[in-house]
Amino acid sequence: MAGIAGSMAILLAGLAAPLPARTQPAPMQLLTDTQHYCAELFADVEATQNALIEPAPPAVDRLALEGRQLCSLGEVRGGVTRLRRAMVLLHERSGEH
Amino acid sequence: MMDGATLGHAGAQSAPGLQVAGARSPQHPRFLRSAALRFAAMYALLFGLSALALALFLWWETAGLLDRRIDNAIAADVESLAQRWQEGGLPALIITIENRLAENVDDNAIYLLVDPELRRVSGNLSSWPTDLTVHRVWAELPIERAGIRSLARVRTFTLPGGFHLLVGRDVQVRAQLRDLLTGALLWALLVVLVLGVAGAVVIRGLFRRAMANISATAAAISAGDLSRRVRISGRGDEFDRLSETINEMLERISKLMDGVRQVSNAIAHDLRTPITRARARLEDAALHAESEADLRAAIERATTDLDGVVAVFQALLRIAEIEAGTRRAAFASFDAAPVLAGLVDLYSAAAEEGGLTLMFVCPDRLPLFGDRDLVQQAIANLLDNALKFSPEGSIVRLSAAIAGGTVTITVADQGPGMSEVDRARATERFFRGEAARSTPGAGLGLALVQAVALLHGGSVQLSENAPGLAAMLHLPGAAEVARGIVATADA
Repeated sequence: MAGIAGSMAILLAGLAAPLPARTQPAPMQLLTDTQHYCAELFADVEATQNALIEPAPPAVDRLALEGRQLCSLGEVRGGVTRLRRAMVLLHERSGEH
Repeated sequence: MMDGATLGHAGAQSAPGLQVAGARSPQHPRFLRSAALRFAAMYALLFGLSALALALFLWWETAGLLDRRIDNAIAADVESLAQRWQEGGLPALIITIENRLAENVDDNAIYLLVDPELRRVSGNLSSWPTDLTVHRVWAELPIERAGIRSLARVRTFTLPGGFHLLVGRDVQVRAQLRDLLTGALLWALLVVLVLGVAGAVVIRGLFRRAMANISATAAAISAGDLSRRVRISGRGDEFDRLSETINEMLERISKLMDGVRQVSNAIAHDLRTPITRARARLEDAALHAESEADLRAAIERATTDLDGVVAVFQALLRIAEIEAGTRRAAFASFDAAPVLAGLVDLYSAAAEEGGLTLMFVCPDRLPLFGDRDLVQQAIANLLDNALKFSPEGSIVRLSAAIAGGTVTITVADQGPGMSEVDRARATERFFRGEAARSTPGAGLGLALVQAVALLHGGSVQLSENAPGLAAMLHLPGAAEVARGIVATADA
């Protein structure tokens, strides 16, 4: 019984371990998690909205505004996600995929 | 000269390497030799293995499924990007990557396009990961997002022109799920351990309780209380069947011991008379014989008495030999019809002398598998009894028949017969019915017939012949015995 417990513990420890300890490179930052990208994405959303012939869905303005606000408050990932949703709505409206 | 106790001890010592029966192994502690513990450990092992198998299946179904889905999504992404490259070259690929990043609502996509010198062209990574060679296809990449360290699953792809593409997904969700599963399974492991130990303790207790009943009975019998029997729980399980078998064995042993006591008493009672009579005659002759002729006559009478005693012992030994079963090794197939015919020829003279009619009815063949001499002697004993107890002018009938694979040989007389009570005891050693008390004999004839019948797997049956007694010897036919041997071999 002790052998089974030990085997399970080793298995689970192995599954839980992310990387070998001897190779620990510095984690990479994503460029899309930055204020700079947030601002770029907001500008893209505005440009895409202005290029539309038909009016954009009402949610686009809200999402874009929320996204910029979140980014300015330091919640970059949340802000970028809202801006991306706005971009998806705009592309759906324009028929571009 | 050594006594029994010393001899036994010396015998154990004088056989090096030979373990005395019942001696305990000195290598293992007592609790490790417990069968109950082995059963309990086996239960715990099976329980643990089952739980482990279930845990591995759950892991494969959940975290494993997620892994497979992520890999499939990355592979599909790589394929479509490669197609964009083929259709529109580098500019089209760059636009596609930027559009996908802009529309990545799940916020988990990772792209990096580098030139042959590993300089960034497009994507959301700043540079090619240092520990990732361009030739490695699948890899795990440590990333940090909003201060939280996470992991990305990435795939690299070399494009024509020496450009390299890296496509991946943030697998933080998978890592969280894995941590959740790990914690849950560790707790489950603890529960499994507790349940396994508890179950093992219960199993061990049940096993020991079941065996304690049998052990206690065996100990009581060893101490001398032969009336004890193993208690039956009534559940009809394997332990009850074992208990019933042990009780049947104890009943048989008890009957055998009663039989031995009875035989010892009968020997002491029935043989004492002729020995005492022979002694008295010799003593009388020694004191009062007046001539050599008187002495010779006394010696002859004593010799006759002692011959009778010897005959009784010989009959007892013969019965014991038959019951021991050693003659079964010499069994062979034979036809009993000529054996019966020979006996009729042998006894017809005695029958005629006694004014009796000896009738004989038998099929042409009576195939049997057994000892020819023993069967002949058994039937001879039955004929002896029939002729001895039949009145003048009556009929003694010897008949045989085969029915359902069993050969039945019947000797029927028209004598006084036996009561039902006497018929039940007639095959006991030294038993003599009321009608036999005035006739010579030691009461061993039917005991020998019974022993022969049992040796051959048959039986003896006594019934009313109205008037008289019918003694039937049932024996399995040769074909029936052969079928039994085949069935035993197949089993």
